[in-house]
Amino acid sequence: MWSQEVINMIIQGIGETLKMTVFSCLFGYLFGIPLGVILSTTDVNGLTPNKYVYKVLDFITNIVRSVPFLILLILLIPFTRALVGKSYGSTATIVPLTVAAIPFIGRMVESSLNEVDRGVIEAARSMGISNFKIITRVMLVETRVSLMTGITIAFGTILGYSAMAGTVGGGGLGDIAVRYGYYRYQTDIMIVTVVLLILLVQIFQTVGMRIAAKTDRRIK
Amino acid sequence: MGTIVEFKNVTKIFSSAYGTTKALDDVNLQINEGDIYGVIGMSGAGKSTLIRCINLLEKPTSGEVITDGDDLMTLSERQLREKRKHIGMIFQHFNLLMQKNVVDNVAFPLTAAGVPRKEARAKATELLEVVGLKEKVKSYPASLSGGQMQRVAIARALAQDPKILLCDEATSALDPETTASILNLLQKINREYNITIIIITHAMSVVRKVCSHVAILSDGKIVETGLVNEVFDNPKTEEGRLLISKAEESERREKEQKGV
Ligand SMILES: Nc1ncnc2c1ncn2[C@@H]1O[C@H](COP(=O)(O)OP(=O)(O)OP(=O)(O)O)[C@@H](O)[C@H]1O
Ligand SMILES: [Mg+2]
Repeated sequence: MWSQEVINMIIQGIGETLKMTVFSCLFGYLFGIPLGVILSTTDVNGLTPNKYVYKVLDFITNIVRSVPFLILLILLIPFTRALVGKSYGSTATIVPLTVAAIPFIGRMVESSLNEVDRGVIEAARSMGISNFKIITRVMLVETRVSLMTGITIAFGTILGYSAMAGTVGGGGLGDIAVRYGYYRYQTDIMIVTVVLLILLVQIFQTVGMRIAAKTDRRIK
Repeated sequence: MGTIVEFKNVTKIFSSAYGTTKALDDVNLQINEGDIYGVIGMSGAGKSTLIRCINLLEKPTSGEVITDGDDLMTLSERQLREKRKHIGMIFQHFNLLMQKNVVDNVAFPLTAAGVPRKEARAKATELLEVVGLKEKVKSYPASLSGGQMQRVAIARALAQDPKILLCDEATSALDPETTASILNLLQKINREYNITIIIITHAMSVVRKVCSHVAILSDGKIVETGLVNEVFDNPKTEEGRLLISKAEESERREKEQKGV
């Protein structure tokens, strides 16, 4: 049962899950930060309110967020294939994972940025600081703890999505859990992979939260 | 000495879904260089709106605001930002950056404007000495008292080498003793750096203690202006009399209650 082969497969599964999660998180933030910044600044109470930009982005974000991940994954197959050449396996799964992550991360960034004290922004404006610098030097810096917490949450969520992608041949631990646990009734392998998934989320959650708390200067 | 801030027929109307508010109604005002100018009035009279027009954080609906020689309404966004760099502002709730330590808070207007960090920190450290916070350079705002935070905010404003310092209820969150020490500091700044100071406050005692001139704002209109002694001892309008007698009465009662 626990042959070298199975162990190797599980190790590879961990590697694939981490690869999918890390890259999707990375790409998710690459697009999610600008999205969150624009959502927060164009809001009625934002730095440069713009009803139209906000409404359009708000709408698109909600749409993508409402599509169940598995459906999104299937809908994106042509796009994924065009981008990476195939639609299955861990590398290909990064594409739908990223698409699902962007609006989710954008919302979290938006809500973090909305936490910035309006008085602090007012003070920065009174100093003659440009809006761009207010975003980069005030808002993103003052909310770094909240952003860090957001990254931790995003990581756990994307990891969960990546396991879901496993059910349709997406690779990683989820894939193994479904193939062995569901199709071949090898419950022990399934349990091990699920425990590993839980452990990964727990580790990142703990480490992320700890880093966030450590860098917070408000509590002294 | 010349005029440094002038309002010409300034009106500010806020419109929202609930209707419109005339926060400033045809305001004319002249503040001279070197003054410590107080603006008093009831809550909602338009004091904050008025002070925020001086650096155009609030844009008047009509009229002219001439600050330090420039008609602000005619400036481009970029020119306005340049202008604001020489107008300091402090607030009731201090508005410090909570994730930056004291020296970096004070250095912030400089580093944000592109001054090298080392140079900015050196200047910030000097200014922290001026405001009496030399030993708190490395502390974070969360560990400071209200009075100390306001000193940091004052040092931060001074880092911009301002010609004008705007204070919106800067002592309203502080106890009487701390208020007195902050007011002393403002007076010192006014004398030593020849910075014109404009103070918005509810507290008549603040005006009495530090201001040279005062304007009384009521319902968006300036009802009285002049030297503090003249206006306070002999208010010419009903609004002025009411405001001053009421406020001084309640301040006296407050003091009695505290047994001071
Ligand atoms: N952004 C805004 N939108 C709509 N109305 C506003 C806005 N800012 C101020 N007002 C209104 O304008 C009037 C003047 O407000 P302002 O804040 O200048 O008063 P204030 O004298 O500073 O009062 P306080 O002593 O309470 O701070 C008030 O009626 C207020 O409700
Ligand atoms: Mg006010």
